[in-house]
Amino acid sequence: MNYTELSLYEVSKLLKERKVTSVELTKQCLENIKKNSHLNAVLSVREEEALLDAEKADKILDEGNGTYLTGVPILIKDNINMLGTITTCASRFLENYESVYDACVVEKLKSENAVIIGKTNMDEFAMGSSNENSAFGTCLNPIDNTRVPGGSSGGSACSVKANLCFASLGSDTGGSIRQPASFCGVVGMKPTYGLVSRYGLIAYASSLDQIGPLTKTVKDSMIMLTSIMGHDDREFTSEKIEKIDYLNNLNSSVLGVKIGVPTNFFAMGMDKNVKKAIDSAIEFFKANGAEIVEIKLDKIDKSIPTYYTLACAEASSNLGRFDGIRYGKRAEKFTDLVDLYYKSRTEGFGKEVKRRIMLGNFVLSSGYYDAYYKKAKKVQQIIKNEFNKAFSKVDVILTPTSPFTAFKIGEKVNDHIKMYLSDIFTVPVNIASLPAINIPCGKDENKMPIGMQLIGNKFSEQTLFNVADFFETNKGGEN
Amino acid sequence: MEFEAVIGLEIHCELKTKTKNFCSCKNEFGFNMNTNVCPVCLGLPGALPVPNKTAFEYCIKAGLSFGCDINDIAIFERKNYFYPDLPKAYQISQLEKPICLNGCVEFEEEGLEKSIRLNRIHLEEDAGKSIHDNLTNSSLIDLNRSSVPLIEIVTEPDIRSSSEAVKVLETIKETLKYIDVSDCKMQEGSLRCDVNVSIREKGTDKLNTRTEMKNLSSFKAVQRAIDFEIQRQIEMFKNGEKLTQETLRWDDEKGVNYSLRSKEESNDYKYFPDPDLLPIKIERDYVSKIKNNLPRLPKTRRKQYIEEFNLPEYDAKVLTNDKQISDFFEETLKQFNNPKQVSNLIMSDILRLIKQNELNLEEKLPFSIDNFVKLLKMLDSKEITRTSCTTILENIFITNEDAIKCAERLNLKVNDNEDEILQIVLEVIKNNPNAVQDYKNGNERTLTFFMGQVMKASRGRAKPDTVTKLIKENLK
Repeated sequence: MNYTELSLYEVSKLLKERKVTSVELTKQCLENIKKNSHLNAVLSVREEEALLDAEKADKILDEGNGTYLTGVPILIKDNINMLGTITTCASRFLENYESVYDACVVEKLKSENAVIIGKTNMDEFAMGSSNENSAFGTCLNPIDNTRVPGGSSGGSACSVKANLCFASLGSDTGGSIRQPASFCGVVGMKPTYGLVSRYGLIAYASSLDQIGPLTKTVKDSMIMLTSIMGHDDREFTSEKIEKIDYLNNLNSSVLGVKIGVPTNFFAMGMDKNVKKAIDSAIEFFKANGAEIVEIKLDKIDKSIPTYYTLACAEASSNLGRFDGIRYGKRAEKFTDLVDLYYKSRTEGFGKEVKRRIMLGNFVLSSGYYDAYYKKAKKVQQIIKNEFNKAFSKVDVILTPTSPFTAFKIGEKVNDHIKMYLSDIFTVPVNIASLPAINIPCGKDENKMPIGMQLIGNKFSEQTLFNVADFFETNKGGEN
Repeated sequence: MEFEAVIGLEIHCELKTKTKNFCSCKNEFGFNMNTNVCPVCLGLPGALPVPNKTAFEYCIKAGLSFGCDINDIAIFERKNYFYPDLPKAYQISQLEKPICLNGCVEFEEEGLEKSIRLNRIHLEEDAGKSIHDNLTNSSLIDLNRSSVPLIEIVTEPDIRSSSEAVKVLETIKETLKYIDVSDCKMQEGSLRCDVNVSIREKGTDKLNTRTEMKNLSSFKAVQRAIDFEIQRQIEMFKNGEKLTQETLRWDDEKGVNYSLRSKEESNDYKYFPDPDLLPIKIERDYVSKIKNNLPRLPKTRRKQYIEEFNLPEYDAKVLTNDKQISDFFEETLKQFNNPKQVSNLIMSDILRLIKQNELNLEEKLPFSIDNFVKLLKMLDSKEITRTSCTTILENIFITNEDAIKCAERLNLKVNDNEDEILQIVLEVIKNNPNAVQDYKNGNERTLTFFMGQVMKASRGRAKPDTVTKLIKENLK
């Protein structure tokens, strides 16, 4: 029997009941990875190690111990350090870079004896919305192989949809979990900034990056988030929050929940199919006892320039360490130190990464700092205030995750501004440090999934799960 | 035309915390290369910095000692530049919101009270070390020093001479050692100094083009380098040459400086607040607490020693040179309130014994204050002579043997038995008939000779008053 189509929650039950072994599941997932190599979703596989981990998990399960995740095959994005694995960030620069320590989230997954089977494809250094910026080739959308899976966590979203694993980890700086989840029709959760430790996540934009799960169901998302969340002494921006058992606290209902619909935000344009699916979701919530409140989010249109200013500024500094001196790419021929830097970085980084480093250097350089970086910090505060105002009236805010469904490979690669603008619904969430979840809410005429985004106030992940689970259970994304 | 120099200093001091500034590696010297490192101080991808609370506290301590204002909020910023020994390609430093602002360094020079304003004291991290190997024409990098905590003390350009600059440095070093935040060893690089020099016509307050000088590895080098640079600038001015703003490197062996880079080549460091390190709120209660626990500084102590204890200025200075000695002195006074006598014994005997035994004043003295007080009391009540006092000290300074027991063991307690002393006196008189004749001829100085002879014969134990009395009586 093929178990890989089951959800994490379902398979976890079978594991506990010992109706299936972790080794069996791991073998099936590894087999799926091989069979679907054309998807290019996975960059490296821990075949032998994963099977050993699975054996160990089976022993624990045999003794009647273990958690939801014990023995469950999982993939992680290739910008997360895991001891002994090659962590490339889908960049030539780190093509052979072997991690010397475990990221906090990896430690947590290991402590529950989840089976990490490999690392997923992504846009280079998490910069992109289509996965086309991977140095190791584009990952394909598993539903329509001519289309992109979204990005930057495209490999993580694709892997879950294609049953290469039961859940995956991605990272989200401006929508990099939610948008690919939307394009591939899976659940993607971007937690509140500071809820999940970034220790070991190779930084793109430190003040916006957040690790989160991509899963088949909302319940699976709860299980994964419970596992990876919590305070970490090694990160100064980590919030002092105790473990929350989201699944145990689940109250699947929308009765009396105030759902904000930002009308001015919607007016910025979206595909008609997306509009129809979102309207239908709103109707569903209304019919089930939620209160729909029309809200306005002023200045939200300034999110994109604000995001690219702040994120690129931080990235230009974060990526400085890739200089060819201590690890990673070093140009073979160089004349002096400056030439070594110049050539190594020229050869090691892809176009989009270079573009963002240059942009970041520009907005931080003397004479331009006040006009760009400082101004963007001010606009960030304004956007935060806008959300604060909104959350004094509503519990969650509903938007589409993306204005359109998965586009064709190559369709937008030469129109950077258009590509950047497609992040309009996801980016404000990172700017305001908020949590948000993508859940499938329909399909367009090409059978491509449409995603709905629910945004919550800081640390209201439980509310988001409650609403999302109710929607998933009672309406689902398939109609 | 008469010129005056306008000098400002940037002083870097390594703080003596247990761990590094942003990770838990040890802050110690002497490890094998690249062994005292972790993902954070190696700048490995994904590793994150966490600020060291003690380093933060030490920076505040330094600020309070120089009368700085402590900011309500401190922000760590990234100073971005590429260099092989800078593993993250940025140094975590401070720009707009340093921990300490303003303040001043006060000192005395040629009897004048002087005060040099400080601009700021901020906290940052050190870089690693590059070692250039000319034999193989290669560079090696040691990252053990990477992320060691540093404070940078920046003065205003208030300094007018090389000797003033050295005084400022000495005062800073003395203060930082007193408050126990840095070893300030210039040779080991735990104290480093860059100087900014410009010249102007005396009497004007214009700030002219300045040069910055690096690689000054001793106070003497600072003095020589400044003098050289002032002279160089004056000469350039006289020859009508235009000075360019540049960074110079001092070559102490050759006694000259040469250009490292001009301003046009200088970096744009693209400072911005480090997103990994949120702004840190500095509570006033916390600052007060640090302030209340700050040791009294040498300047305050000196004043008290001179004005309240009536000690000579020289003594006050010697006693306050080192905090442990000064504390030893003050603690002793609590039990034996005779500053002059305590000071005398410390200055003449204890400091000598410390030197002879090559004791490290960073460590606690083996000799206890209680024991010192016992000794002082014996001396004061004339149970021992001053000579015996030194002998006892020499015997017990390292072992801390009880002073009274030692006096007994060595049989050094003063002998006040008139009969016994008389025997010695009579013996001495008998053996020195010529001296007796001198005395009778009116040479009073002979008395001292007899005293010496009697004391020698009694091995220093005879009570001097009694000896004098008996000699006089028996020479009549």
